[in-house]
Amino acid sequence: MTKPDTESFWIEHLLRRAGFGYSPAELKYYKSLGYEKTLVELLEPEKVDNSKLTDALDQQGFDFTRLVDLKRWWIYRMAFTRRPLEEKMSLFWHGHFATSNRKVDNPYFMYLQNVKMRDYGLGNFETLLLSMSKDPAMIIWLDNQQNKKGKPNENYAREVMELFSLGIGNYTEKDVKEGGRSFTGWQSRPDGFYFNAKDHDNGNKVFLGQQGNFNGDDVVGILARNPAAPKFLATKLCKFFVADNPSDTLISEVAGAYKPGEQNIRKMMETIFTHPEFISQSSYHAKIKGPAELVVGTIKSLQVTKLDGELPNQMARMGQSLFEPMTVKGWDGGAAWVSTDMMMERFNFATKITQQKFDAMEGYIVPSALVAKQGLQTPAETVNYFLNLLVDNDVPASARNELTQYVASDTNGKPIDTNSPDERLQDAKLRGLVHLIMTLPTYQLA
Amino acid sequence: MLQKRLEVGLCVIALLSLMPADLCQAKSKGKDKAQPADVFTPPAEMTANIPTFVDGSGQPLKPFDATGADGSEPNIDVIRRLPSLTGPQRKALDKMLAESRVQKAALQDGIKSMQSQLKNRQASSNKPGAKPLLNALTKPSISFTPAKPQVANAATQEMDNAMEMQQQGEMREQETMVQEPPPEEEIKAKIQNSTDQIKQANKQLWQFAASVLTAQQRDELDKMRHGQLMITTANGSQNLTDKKSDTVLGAMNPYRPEPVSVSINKGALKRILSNQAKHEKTPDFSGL
Repeated sequence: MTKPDTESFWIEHLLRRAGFGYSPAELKYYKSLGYEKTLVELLEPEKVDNSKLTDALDQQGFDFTRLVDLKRWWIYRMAFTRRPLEEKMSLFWHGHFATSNRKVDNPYFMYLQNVKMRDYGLGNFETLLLSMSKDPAMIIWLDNQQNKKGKPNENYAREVMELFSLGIGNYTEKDVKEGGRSFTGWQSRPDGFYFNAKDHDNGNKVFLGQQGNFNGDDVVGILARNPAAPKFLATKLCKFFVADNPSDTLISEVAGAYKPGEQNIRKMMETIFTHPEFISQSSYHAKIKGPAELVVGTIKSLQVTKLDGELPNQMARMGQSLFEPMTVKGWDGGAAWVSTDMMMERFNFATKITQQKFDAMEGYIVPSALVAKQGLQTPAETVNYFLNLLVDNDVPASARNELTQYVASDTNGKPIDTNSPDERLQDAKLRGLVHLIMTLPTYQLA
Repeated sequence: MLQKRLEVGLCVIALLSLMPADLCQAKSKGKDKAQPADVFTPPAEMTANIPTFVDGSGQPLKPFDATGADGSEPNIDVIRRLPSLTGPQRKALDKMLAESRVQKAALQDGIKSMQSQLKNRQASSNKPGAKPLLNALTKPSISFTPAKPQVANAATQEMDNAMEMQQQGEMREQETMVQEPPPEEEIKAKIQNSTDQIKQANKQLWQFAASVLTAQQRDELDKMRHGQLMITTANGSQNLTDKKSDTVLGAMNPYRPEPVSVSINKGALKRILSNQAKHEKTPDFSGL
């Protein structure tokens, strides 16, 4: 099938990558703006009133001292925010500064960290890195609590270079030791970050070729201005937002937008979303959706308003337990999302959301209502609508025909009598149709 | 390549996928008599303003009860994380929690043992010719006044002995059957009694925790539960921005960096978009 050669097509692509997909109403709105204005709105979330989300969140009764509520809170934000990129950046930074409550054991600290990722996620990288270095959850996670003068713990100093700013090969073991000394005395207390002067090493340090009585602030500044930082960050951003194997050209241009004096993450994102490699066939449907993208995208496209309280657990079984990344490296993404067992969990999710009913007709989704709203009359129209809604019409003709045949036939394969429709059969067929589309390969792709 | 990888399970999945809908349809035939007058009328949920998390029956999840009314144990860890909690307060909470847990452990072991008794007995009674077993519960009622660990331990030991006797019951039953076991109802009543005692202990713990805290600290705890408690950060006091930064610029969190004005190269973007206009995507998979 040939896609219509319109700007709208790339807006859909943009919304999948810079956000979590779209509801029909959202898509209509963004298409009315056009690609450029949509992008500006995504890149400047501070200018978008999100108070409806706040009001809705206030009514949920989430308890931020409970991890399960924290997970639901974030899923809710992802699904119903008017600022999709803000949430997507938070998810990116959560994977980048991967911190797990399994060790931190303090959901409230995890919540505070998440708020910071949202606030600083599109701003200056040094500010973000510093806020993470002083984050109570991070301090517990990477053992800086035990980093004291004379008894240094170098875990944070190593990871801040290896995983957060420069990457392996851009520092030495000596830098790790000296960096560790610089972060001594940076501790976490119930009231937040605490600088314990008596545990801080005030001696002279030599760090990445520079010499002085450095503390953690100095080290973060040196790292954010290091020439290796832009490329390291650009590579991770491009892999997350564009493709698993982005070109050197793209990485180089995105890194160039960082500018050592500005360290501007927003500018990097602008470069990504206006780059020919992003707006190209090589990028289109070329990334496997992560569990958050899959689940939240489904909520949005199918306009789910009754959210399964088990969603956090379902996502965990798909490999992404929010606030609990498995390792300090975060989630690998890409093909790692579709191992055999995780793929089965995706299908289980599709089954549950399409098939589970609360009474005769109502369930998590009500496809018949969508059909009625659109005034769809024939099986072909119905299939076309759902394919467009769920997979951007990106299926071969053979699949489309099979789906149409499925909707038009009863359980014995005989054509459904459209003159005297069996409502239950129709409901089952529509649910089956959505289920089938959700198990298509294309539905796994962003 | 990506398509190919995903294609592998497609045939099986397609078959599996077809099943639930049709099975569901088949199962529900004739089961539910009430049918909506018009299946194509959007239900109220579709137009509801506020999406909500629900349980498996579609009912909104109940907010976590932070008063202990449901009989659950308070999460003292949450209280211990209060920034203003003092050392003595923390020690008092820890001591009370430890004592309460010792008390409840004995009760919980007792419940477990009694449940096991019930289960075994039911299994035995299902066998042909089964005879009543000597039941540990025929022993004098166990007292659970567990403020002191040694008392609780004694109770636990007693229940362990009961378990052991139960396991050996088959062998001994002929020679030791001296007394009829209590009826099931009696055992169930004892289980219920122990459960009530646990709930009561938890309730006392909640009350104690509340009494340890000052009014200001209780307010702090409430703010924490609502995600509004401020806390020291790299940039000073972190204003919990969930509320403030969701509003438009101007009322935003002062610690949030000023937004950089985005100025997209419109001409370049237009060229890129038009160059890519001839997009054609026909994934090559089959088997559906």
